Amino acid sequence: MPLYKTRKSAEVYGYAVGILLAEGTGPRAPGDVANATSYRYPVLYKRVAGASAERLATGDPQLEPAVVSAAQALEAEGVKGISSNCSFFANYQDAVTKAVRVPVFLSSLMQLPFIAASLGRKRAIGIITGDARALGNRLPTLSGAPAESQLVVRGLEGEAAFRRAILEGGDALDTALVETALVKTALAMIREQPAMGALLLEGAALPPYAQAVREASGLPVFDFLTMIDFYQQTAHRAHYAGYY
Amino acid sequence: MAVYRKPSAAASAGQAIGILMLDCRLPFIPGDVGNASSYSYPVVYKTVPGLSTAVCLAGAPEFEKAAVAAARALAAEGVRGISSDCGFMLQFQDAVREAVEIPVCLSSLLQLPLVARSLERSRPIAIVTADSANLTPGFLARAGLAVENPILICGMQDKPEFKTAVFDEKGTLDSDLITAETVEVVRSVAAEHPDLGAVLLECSMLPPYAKAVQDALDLPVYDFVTMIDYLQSAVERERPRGRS
Repeated sequence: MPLYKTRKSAEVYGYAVGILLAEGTGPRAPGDVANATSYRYPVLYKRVAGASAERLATGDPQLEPAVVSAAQALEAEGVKGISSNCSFFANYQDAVTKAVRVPVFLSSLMQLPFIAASLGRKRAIGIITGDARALGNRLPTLSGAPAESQLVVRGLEGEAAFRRAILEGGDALDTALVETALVKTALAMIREQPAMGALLLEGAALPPYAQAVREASGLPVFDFLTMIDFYQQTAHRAHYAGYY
Repeated sequence: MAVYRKPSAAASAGQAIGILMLDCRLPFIPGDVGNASSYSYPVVYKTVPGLSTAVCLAGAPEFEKAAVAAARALAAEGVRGISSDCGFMLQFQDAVREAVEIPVCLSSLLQLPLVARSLERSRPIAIVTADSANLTPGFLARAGLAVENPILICGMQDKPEFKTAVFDEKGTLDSDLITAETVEVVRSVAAEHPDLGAVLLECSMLPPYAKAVQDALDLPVYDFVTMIDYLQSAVERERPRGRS
């Protein structure tokens, strides 16, 4: 019989993945990082006070203590890894890895080195983001992507259904409209760059549409959920009950 | 109703992951890359003729063409991603990824940059390999997988059951004995390095023991199967079915 010890900061148990949440409300559709039904396992959310989109995008140093203490609180509650629902939390990746012992995957962009290593050098990687103006030229710094990678970035800020619900924090999201807009954007990128090898949906609100993009494009599509699922599996290894 | 077209070279359909195999006859138990029941989805295997374990580990540029041909055959059959059953096939990674249009992840070591980025830079990462004489920091650097974190390379070559089952191909494999041997190896490296951050099981025959390693160390454990599952999730993931 194993011996279980009380974890002083934990009220409940059984979470391997902890997720830092930016400020903001708005509809969190199934598949969104901030919708708990997006996972086949429990995740533990922690809102970071004051983490507005603007402060995260610029990496406001005054926000760092709040990000770090939220991550430490998740760790104290027993999570085995920490992610987030905004890639701009990557501005605090170093600070958080210094402050906790568990692995930290704050941005979906962290997957870029793996994606780049798996593709031929002539292949491009298409990155679809909520707002290309915010991502701007900070991409290499945030992702650690190899300098020679061919990255093509396209934003959804021009798509009204997406902009109103997600960027402007509206109270209704029509996922059918956003799916159409996202698939259209992906196919346009591929037409312009026929050597596209993979797509990465950067934003935490975009995974609901990833499978539609896969089916329309035939390309591998990475997003926040592929990264979080990957981490969950490495944090909770199971016995292989197969056959021989 | 959709219209399905006949792929050019496939005898069967539905496999998204193709796996290049060494030319060897070993007991591939559940959890092993070479056991189809290790996955919750179908995979298809293709042997690289003549490429034995010993030849691959020693470095075999003369087999590059055969590896490329096998990968092209898998791609022609319609797979969406290619992996392998030996981490040392990393030596063919560049040639194969340039030869096909789909993602190629021939070695579990491709996960290393993502693992490293998730941890503070001083935290060591243990790599457990079949034979530590052949896996050197230079081998990693040549493959573009150099990371800042200290890398601790641990070999299984002196463990009697692993050695006789895998290298001597004695025809049987006692998984209880190899569980104990693998746990002994990782316990020893963890005792020397209390700040160890993660374990990467490089060898494709080690995923069956990932749970035992995790139970012993309480650290994230990465291996070939976590990488192949990750690749599969980028190629195919169920659409969200949850509630908002």
